[in-house]
Amino acid sequence: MRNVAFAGVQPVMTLNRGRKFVAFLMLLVVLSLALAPLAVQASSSASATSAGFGAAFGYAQTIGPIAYTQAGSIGDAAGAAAAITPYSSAVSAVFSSGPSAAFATSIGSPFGSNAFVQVASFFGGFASGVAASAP
Amino acid sequence: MNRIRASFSHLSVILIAAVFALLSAHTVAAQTSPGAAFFSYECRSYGFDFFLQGSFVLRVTFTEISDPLARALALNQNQPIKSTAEIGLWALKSDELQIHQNKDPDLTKYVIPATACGPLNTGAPSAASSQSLAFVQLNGPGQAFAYAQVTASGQTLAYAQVSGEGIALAAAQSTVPADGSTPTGTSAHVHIVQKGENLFRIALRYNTTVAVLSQLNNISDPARIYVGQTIILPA
Repeated sequence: MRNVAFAGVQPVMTLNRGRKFVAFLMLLVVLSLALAPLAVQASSSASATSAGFGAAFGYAQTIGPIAYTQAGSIGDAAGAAAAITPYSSAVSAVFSSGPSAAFATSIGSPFGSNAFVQVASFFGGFASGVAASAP
Repeated sequence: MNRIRASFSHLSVILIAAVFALLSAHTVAAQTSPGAAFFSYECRSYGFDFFLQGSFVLRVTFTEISDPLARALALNQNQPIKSTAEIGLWALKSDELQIHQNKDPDLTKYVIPATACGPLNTGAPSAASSQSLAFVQLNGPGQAFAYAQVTASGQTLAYAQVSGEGIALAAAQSTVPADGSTPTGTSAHVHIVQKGENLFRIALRYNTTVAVLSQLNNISDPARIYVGQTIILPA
């Protein structure tokens, strides 16, 4: 992957069993898309989960050879999105906990790609995000 | 003397007309493909070799061209074939190939017919299928929304949003046979002969030989196959 962006604040985070399962589920979705055979013309997936005081979204789209993703979360929430075409791919994922927010976006196209992550955290909150695109 | 002068005059007119015609042709060619000043190509048995100002820059095989070109024609949308950091090669929906420098595509684009080095299989991708899934679950007060879509042209969109306590998932996928081959009911694969194809190109495309295909299909004269004929491919 040529473009990878990662950002995080607060080095320690605690995940309960439910969140671990959701994180694992998201990882499976992203990996299954990333390992998809070339016979897949295009695929998009998005997931969002929140607990209590939080909100999140994921957005993925393919247009011809272009893959585009966005993910955002605020409070106790997580969002992820992945888009794959035979010529490009893009992945964005964010996680936030407590008073914090995260946003990640990435675009992949045959002749260029870009990734962007932004996080903010206050008073013990935690936020992290990762975005990657290829080629 | 007058006859000689008249002949000379006629010859001048013909020469001027010829020069004008040559200049006009050159001007038209320069207008349609400015990149001809930069790029050139050579036909090979396996495909194209491209050169940028005389230096080799890109090699592409017929097999590599075939699928993007078929997709470009089917979707009415230009498709990338191959790229390096410096240049890009595209299959155009006008059944042509375009090579250009990435730093200035418009000024350096060089367009040639896709069949410049021989006929290609441009059959549209077949048996495309799509799957989409949207799922939401709320475990308490909140809102959840999920949306997944696959368009007729194979573009995909997935959106998931949640607030409160819940989960939203959306996934969309469109598939197409990677090699354009048509799966049959058995484990064997077949190829339907398209216009402009011959057994040699089909053999090249599937990494086999004319002899193997001839034997498998009981073809006594490899030069005689017809459009629509089913060719059994080796497993």
